[in-house]
Amino acid sequence: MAVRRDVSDLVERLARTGGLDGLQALNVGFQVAEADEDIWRAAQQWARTGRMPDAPRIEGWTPQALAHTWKPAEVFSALMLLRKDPVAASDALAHSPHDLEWVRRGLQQQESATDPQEDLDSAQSVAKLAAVLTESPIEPYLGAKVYARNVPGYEAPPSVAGRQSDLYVDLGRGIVAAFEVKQPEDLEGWFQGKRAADFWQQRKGKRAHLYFVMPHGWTGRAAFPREDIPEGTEVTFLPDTIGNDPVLQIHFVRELSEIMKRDPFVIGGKRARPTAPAWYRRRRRS
Amino acid sequence: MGGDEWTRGAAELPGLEDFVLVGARVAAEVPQTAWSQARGDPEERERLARMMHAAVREAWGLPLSDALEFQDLGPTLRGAFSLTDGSLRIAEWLLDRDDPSDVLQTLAHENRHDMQRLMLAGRLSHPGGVAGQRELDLWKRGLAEYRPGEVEGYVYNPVETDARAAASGVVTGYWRATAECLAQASESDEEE
Repeated sequence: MAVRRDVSDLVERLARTGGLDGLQALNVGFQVAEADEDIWRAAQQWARTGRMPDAPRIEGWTPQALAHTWKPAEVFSALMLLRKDPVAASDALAHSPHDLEWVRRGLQQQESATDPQEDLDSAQSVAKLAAVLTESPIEPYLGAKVYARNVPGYEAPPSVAGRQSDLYVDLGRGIVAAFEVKQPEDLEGWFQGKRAADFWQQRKGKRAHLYFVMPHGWTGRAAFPREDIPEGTEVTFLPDTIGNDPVLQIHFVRELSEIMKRDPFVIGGKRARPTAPAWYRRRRRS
Repeated sequence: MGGDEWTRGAAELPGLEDFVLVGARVAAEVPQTAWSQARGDPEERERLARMMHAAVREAWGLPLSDALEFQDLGPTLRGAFSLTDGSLRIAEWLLDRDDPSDVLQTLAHENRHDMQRLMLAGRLSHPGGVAGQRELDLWKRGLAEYRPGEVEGYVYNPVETDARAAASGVVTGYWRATAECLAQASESDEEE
């Protein structure tokens, strides 16, 4: 006779600390309620204490060991799978699930390539931009440190581990701006506003963005999660980081203004505003 | 797609034999005896593992890369690509294992992922021709549908199952070539 299991403790714990919303927690709870007795006991123990137990051991894996890589909800699914299909599960779990993100980058590189001959992701391209950033006014202006992926001498700091951009600028105070590199050929589409606007819509409410045009026509889209920004931090848009091309500068400011109108970027009670380049302000005054 | 068509398509894909050849190539570069002799010598073990890495990458047409690190990856992981700098990280305890296929399996698995990435980026062509294109489509769909953190979605993802099959084939080839080598040596001894 099937024994009905009370999932309430587990669902509550999953919703409270497992990173799931109520419905997700309920689904996982019912799924784990179908598990073998020893896995169910482990789940109950975690639900009561918040600590992953070191039993049961299935194919050499324990809940505690799995929790190093997987979230609690998935730890119990993994144990169930290890029992159902031990060979496949054991092999796959020994390799990082982030590997799929690594493979996915191949698709992103294919989609973002404007010219098949160009290699947007090559270390050479990123190195060029890193050099431009380092030599440009940005680094001294921000007091920032520049890091780039795949470029010797620009090793990423621990604070950007797991992020996927080409280049990082550590702004200090816990803020790391991640840049996605676009080559000059890509500028036209970008500044017609479509791509920037689409991107903004996709990420609206999730991330705050700064858009930069680098010297020599490089563009960077800097992004950092809002929740990463400490309360009271002032964020300034830096016209000096805009390149020398006046047309691009105007496009940049217009673009940014549009973005700011749609979703004001408020930090620490201050509404950030895009600033026109100095030469543009002078011209308007005259 | 009908069953026959699927069978024909699958038959065109590189199968176990192709992976086995890669394993044989690694066995020629790093024989099991060399690995055994390096017992207690972590530097030599690392050098041999790097030779395996290079042999696998060369056999699959991947650009040679020194971005390989042996690290403490925690109690469960054997290998992972760093999303920060793209380097390949291998659990250092694998170098202590007297069975060379432990480290080879992980190197093959991870390098197969790198090969998948480059094929999806259009920088390497899939050796399977038309059927290879179908497999690329399958990978794309698998990646699009995968939600990070889902165990089943990860374990049975086409990208992951392909890497497992490839690594398994490479290890099979390694041991088959080793067995052949031992058999030949034995025959030579008998002749003498």
